[in-house]
Amino acid sequence: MNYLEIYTKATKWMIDRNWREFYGKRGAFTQSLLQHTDIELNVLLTLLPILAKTEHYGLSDLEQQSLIVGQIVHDVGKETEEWQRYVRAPREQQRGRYVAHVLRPLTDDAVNDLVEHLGFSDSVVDDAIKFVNLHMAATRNSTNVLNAIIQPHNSKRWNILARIVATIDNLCSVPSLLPTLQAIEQDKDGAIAPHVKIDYHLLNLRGVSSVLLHKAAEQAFVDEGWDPILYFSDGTIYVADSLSDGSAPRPSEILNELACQIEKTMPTSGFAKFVVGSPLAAILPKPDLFDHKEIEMYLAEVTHRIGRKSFSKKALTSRRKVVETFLSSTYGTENITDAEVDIWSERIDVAQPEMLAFKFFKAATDPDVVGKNGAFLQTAEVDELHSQLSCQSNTEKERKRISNLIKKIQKQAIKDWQRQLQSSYESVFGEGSFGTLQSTSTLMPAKDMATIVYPFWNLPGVAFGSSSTFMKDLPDEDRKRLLITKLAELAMEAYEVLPESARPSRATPQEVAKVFIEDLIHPNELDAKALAAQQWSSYVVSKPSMFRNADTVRVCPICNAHFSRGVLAKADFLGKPESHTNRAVAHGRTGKIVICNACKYEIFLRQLLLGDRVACVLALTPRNHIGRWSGARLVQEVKMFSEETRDLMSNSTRNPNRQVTLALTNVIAGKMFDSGDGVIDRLARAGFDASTLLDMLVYDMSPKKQTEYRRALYKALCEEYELDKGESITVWNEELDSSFESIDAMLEAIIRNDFTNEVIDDIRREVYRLDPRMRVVCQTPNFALIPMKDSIKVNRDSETNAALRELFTLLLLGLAVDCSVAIIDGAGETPSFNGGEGVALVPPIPSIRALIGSEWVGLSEARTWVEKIGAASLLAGAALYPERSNLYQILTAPTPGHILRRIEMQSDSGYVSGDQVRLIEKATQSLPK
Amino acid sequence: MRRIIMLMPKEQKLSEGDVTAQIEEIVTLLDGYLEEYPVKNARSKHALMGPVAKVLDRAKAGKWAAEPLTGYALRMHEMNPRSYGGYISPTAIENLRKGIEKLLILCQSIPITALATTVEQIDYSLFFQRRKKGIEWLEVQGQNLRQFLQEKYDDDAAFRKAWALKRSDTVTLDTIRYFGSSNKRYRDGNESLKADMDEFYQKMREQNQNPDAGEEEEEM
Repeated sequence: MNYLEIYTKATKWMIDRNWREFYGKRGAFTQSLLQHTDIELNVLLTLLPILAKTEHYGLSDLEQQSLIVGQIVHDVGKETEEWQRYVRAPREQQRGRYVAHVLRPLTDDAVNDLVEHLGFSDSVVDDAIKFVNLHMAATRNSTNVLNAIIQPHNSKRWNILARIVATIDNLCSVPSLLPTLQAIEQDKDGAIAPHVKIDYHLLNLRGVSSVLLHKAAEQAFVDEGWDPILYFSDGTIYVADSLSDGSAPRPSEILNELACQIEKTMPTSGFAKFVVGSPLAAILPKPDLFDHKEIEMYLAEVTHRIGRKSFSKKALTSRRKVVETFLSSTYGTENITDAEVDIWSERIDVAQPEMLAFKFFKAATDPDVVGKNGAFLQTAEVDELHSQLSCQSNTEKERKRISNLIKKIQKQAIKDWQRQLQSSYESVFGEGSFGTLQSTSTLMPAKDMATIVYPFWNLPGVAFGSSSTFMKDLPDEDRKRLLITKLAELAMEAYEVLPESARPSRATPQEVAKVFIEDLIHPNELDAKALAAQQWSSYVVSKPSMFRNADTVRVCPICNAHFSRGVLAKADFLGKPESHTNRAVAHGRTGKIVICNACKYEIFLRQLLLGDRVACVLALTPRNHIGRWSGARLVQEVKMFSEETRDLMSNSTRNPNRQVTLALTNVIAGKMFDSGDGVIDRLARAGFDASTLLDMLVYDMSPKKQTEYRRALYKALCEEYELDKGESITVWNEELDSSFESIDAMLEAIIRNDFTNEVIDDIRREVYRLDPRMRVVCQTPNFALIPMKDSIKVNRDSETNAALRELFTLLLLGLAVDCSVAIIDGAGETPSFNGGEGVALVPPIPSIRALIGSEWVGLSEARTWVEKIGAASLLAGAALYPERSNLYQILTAPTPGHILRRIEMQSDSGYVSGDQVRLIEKATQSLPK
Repeated sequence: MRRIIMLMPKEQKLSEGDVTAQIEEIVTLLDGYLEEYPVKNARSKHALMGPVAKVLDRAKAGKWAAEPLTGYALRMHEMNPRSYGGYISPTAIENLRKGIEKLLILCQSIPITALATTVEQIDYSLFFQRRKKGIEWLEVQGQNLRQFLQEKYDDDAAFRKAWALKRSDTVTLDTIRYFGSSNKRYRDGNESLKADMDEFYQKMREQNQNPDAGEEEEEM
């Protein structure tokens, strides 16, 4: 039997019956009728190859077909209006008004229709009808059973087959992973459990690392011969033939697999821009990514971190202050003219990149960075002391003594190493220069110029391998290059003194995996009681230590995991490290929080994947659970969307004037409404495939903008090739080694990517911002993340307006791929998905939560809210409410008449079109009851 | 002993759902009445709402009974110079009377604090209904006019030349909107424009449509 063909045809049949807009489950968790039935079909199709074996049921093709039909049609009675009204009613109104969903005529029609649609034999109809009628305990009464016995049947085993349908229905109607396992265990003597083995993996959701951990666990299980059967956001249930001898993978196997996944995911180059920080804050904010072998690359990168004219641009008074301070400390000069200030400002501008190179050298040779891998502890003496320390018989006093001794040895090793570095540094930069360098802090032009750069400029060129008398005589670029080479040489010389294995190097995938594997709850050798005790004791002492960067037990303010050695959060990787946290003492001291290593690596991983700081992350997960076949299709669609988006956003695009947006609600809504109501209907009933979704998010820049970008491109080209704007095409052709007929043709070819070289490539990328603004991370159906460089808001949006735009995007994505979607800000906590979710998590803005009326937008309201917010965004331009809050104002208008009158009053002609009236009706429509 | 003064919250007579339902009913009745009011399409809310605007103001102020208020509204209607000799159909009168009756009952049953908001809701809901109908009517006429002109002229150039449209006027056969005989475009138009439009107005009259129903819809 071709299961894939059956699955595809069955899905179409269910969509055509509009099952996606009907509730299938509502209460402990919410599912559409389509999703509920689809999961059961997935489970059945996964189990059939096992159950059909002769060692088990030895199911014939006809029996399998009747099972498939019965499973799909079992809840067909839920599509009736009466049942939908009943399930939508509040619980207190449901009491005593039960509406049955096993309806004989409807079942007969549906079974016959589906059998015909799937091309099955008519002989499966009788059995399939029986399975539907007997799938609920309430309908398995003596009358129905007798009826089933009397009526014709195809299989003699119709009763056991009916129990398979009922069992799958029960298993798929349980919220979350652990209760589902419990339900399977309770079915020990039932129709399915004796024939299969069940195991699972479960983890704490964190973010990108969770996606990789899910994949690693799944791969390890599949390697052991297991098949995934149900995917939840936090874990997966696997199934295998009960007669097979495979066992669950060991945690070490998952760890190795995770390390492979991390290695595959992490970029292999381009770390320099992450290692080098801001010149005005921490210059080396992520020592974990620092690799001593790349020191020259980092030094080159740091010199680009400051604009060439950043100092000259400042006001004359502030420049004068700096120049006077510098000159008075160097020459004792005072009262200088404005012209002199300008001359020295230019020199300071030139010196600033060199200042940064010195500063980075200082940071890169800091004992904390150099000794991060225990470089100063790798002596035989320390090893001996460590072995003594681990000896159980030692008293507390003895242990303390040994620890102090180790610290003393480490201190001495650092001192010796620094002395060596100082001597080699001073042999180049002069006596006392090392101490001066150590006395500097963040960028202070006057002091740095006087104490570091100016003395360096006055050094003879010969010390740096140059023939020039003084370094200051050299062209700026040459001098900078020689400085970088020399500083890199000195640093490498110092690193090479240390044992090779202990030199500062980047955290390996294996090291990172060891941190993330802690999130794996099962299969893991966890002692739950000890873990709980540790968590509890850490929480008890955690609050006062929240801002202390010392080794002390505490809980992480982001993920709540306990840890003792963490990292002080820096603005470089955590949005607001000093913002309020309720994990610290109320009204107590404030400061930067200390986060655990897992959160640190999670944030690094997000940044590395995106190539920049992350503004927000979209999290997609199935509502409660998803089956294997649908899961594979979901991953395929998400990956396709990812690839197509990346193509459009990267430099390889042939049309850079085409952009992808998640924030321009009016553009997306305009496309949806322009295509007629059919598009929104399709979105709600069947979702979108990857290309349709992308079509909705893509727009072409206005002709005015296109001209602006074209001008900017031309200007950048002129600057790069040092040609005037009016230069003829002949000169350009000579310069570019090309044969264009006109400047326009040349620009057109560059824009369309028909003509390029390395320089033009960079210019095109920079002018059109052709670097992916988002990245889709999806490996398994459990959980997908979309880290984004920009938050979903436009220029002057208030929090409320931005939240409405976010909600619109979340709803669009949620409906398009039929899952729950939430937004996580830059480095915030991942919301826990317990299975009770709707389509989109309403952003936590009080006014928006009040407007929506709940934490999640449910299935039945999702479409209406897409229409309401979309229509409001299209009316915003005409209604001319303040730009900060225009969407909110429209959505909270007391009546449609208020918006209509507003538009009339704001328009010169007072003209309101029929389209606008229809949009007003959409924006003010009531939610379905 | 002095008696305790107790402030008891007054029990609300109507639920939110009841109020909404009543508002909808009142709007439907008053809209039914305004169907016969001579002004169908106007940029001014005052003109569009006719006597109903005054009725709503008085209902909010209280002290009026349904009958006198209906009489007041009818007199206003009759005094309108465009009211076809002051004739109002019995259905329209009935709608108006019932609408006012229900309005006054609603105003008495809701808390005083909610009165202004509720009346405003009725006011703007009714305004929306009326305006929507007017805009839809204009849209239908616009569609018919475009079709009429497209049959008459081969292309935009021929149409623009015949109507002698200025360069600043970018209207085409696909974008032209309906306008009445009192519109500036008609008044300032050339002979060809007037002839075309007169022919179109005649067609409208043949279909029992009043070409000047949207006359206040001025195009800038």
